[in-house]
Amino acid sequence: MRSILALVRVKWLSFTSYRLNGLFAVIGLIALLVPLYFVANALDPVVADSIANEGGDYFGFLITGMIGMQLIGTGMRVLPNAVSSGIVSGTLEALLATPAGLFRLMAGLQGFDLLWAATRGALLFCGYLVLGGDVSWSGVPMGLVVLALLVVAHMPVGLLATAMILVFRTAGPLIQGVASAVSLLGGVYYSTSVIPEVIRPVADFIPLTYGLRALRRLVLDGAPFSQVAGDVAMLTVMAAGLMAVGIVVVSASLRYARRAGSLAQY
Amino acid sequence: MSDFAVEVEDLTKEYQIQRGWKAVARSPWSRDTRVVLDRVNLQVGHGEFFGILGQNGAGKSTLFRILSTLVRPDSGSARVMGHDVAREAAEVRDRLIPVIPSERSLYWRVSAEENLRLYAALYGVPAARVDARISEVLELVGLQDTMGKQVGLYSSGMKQRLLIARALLGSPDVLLLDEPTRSMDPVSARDFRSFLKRQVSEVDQTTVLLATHDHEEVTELCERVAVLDRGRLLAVGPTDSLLASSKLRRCGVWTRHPDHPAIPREVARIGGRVLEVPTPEGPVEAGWSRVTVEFPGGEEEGAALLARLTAQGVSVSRFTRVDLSLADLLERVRDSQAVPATRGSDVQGQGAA
Repeated sequence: MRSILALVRVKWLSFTSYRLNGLFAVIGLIALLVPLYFVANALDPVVADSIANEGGDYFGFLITGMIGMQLIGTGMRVLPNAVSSGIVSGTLEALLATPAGLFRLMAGLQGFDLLWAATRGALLFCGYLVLGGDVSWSGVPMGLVVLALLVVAHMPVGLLATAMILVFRTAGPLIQGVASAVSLLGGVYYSTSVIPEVIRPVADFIPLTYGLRALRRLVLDGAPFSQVAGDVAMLTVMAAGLMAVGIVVVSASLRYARRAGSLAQY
Repeated sequence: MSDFAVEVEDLTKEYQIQRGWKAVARSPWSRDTRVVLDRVNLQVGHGEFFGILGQNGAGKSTLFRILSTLVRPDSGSARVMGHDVAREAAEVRDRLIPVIPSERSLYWRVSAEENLRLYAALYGVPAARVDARISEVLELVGLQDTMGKQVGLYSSGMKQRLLIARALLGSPDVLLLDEPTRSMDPVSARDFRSFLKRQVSEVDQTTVLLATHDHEEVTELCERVAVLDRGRLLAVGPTDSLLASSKLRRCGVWTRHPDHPAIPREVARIGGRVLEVPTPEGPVEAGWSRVTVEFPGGEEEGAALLARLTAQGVSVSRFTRVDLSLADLLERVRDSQAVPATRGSDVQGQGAA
């Protein structure tokens, strides 16, 4: 745990050494939130029927979707980015040569970015409240659990991209492609019920579909856990299965990189 | 405890060479490889300062990466403090620390102290000892006064010293140094070598493996040296014996009489030889030509030769030292391994492949 905290701390110190980072982040969130508020209010009558089971308020629907997307986007990108830049700079070589285990290092390399994404998500949520959004507070604790499961379920994409970087030196358009597909089919901007029937089955294979539906029903609709238990169970199964695959793939790629001698050569 | 700090036996590593599209299209299933280490054998004793000398591409860095568990050998074995690098990687990483030479491997936006605090956690330095240990290593490398400064503001030499401090933090039994002085100015490099010899090796009794292409650095620091050339270990032995040939003084004699018979005669009298006589296209300055000679000994012998040449009527305008290149040195070591007289001495040639 000390190793993970130390890595988080050094990234926090690097981040805060750029003094305007925090200010720009807040300005960025405001710049996102205000237009979103007006656009959501304008479109609310149009989409109200399709989102009736997920809170019925389009602004809240969009905010929860964006918080989820922000977190899973970070979960997918942060490790491959850290490994890629670590190979170039030699940081990865230095870290892997220490007695700290691989999984502690991976957790430490992602920790700060995930915490920062969570903070931005919390700020978005506060903005939503300030702008008059309704929340069912009893659903918030379980909603946080769902968000954590969402991140875990999408992290394997980052592990796969990391494996590709270790083996092929590039992850190509993998993350971008998955992020686009997930945001279009996972119910970030609109309910999955309005997706054309031809491609709707694809949405059933995306963990975000289950996660966002459960999150909105818990936090925006005030649904009891029993009503979202199916979605949460499916999300949990997907998270566990995908994470196991991701760990196997990244371990195999690391073994390959050790054999090929490519761990420190870009 | 193992008899040796580091033992390498028949260590072999090949890297696959990336092929162009045309080559892949012509023969999709073939595989081009390059041998980086070819059945290398060596043992390094506890507390020894051991040099690995070789040109770029000799295999020094690959050997270090294998010892650091970052690269797996194809065959053969390597053990650090008795632990196999392939099967007991965690135990090896507890005992051996490589100095990663890349300055970029430091976090430039944070202070030296914070960089070390991170690695103290990763090396498992007890929390109660972290502050004291950081102070100790920063003092060792002379950075204690600037420990709060952002690393990005450090000079290249200071960053190199911080990289060493980072490695020392974990109190390793074995320290790997890969060309540590390559980006230092001559004065910093001299101070740094003195620090390595005095503090790391003599006081801390750390086993140090130093990879370099600077044979003077090896001569100054190392008790024994291995000469590596294109993946093959040419020889291992005490630095003095093995690099004795590097002690041959090579000088340029600038004279108006390059073909004077006294030159080869007087050089041969002190056990030397004429390496190069000027050709019409060779270096000539206002009628003065350079004859390159080689002889055993140092300044005294050089002065004596000069006196003899002038006494024999050879007019000499300049008598300058010509530095021996590493390529020349490797050639000499290679040649000396082919001479039976060197066998049976304390220098071991390795006739693999």
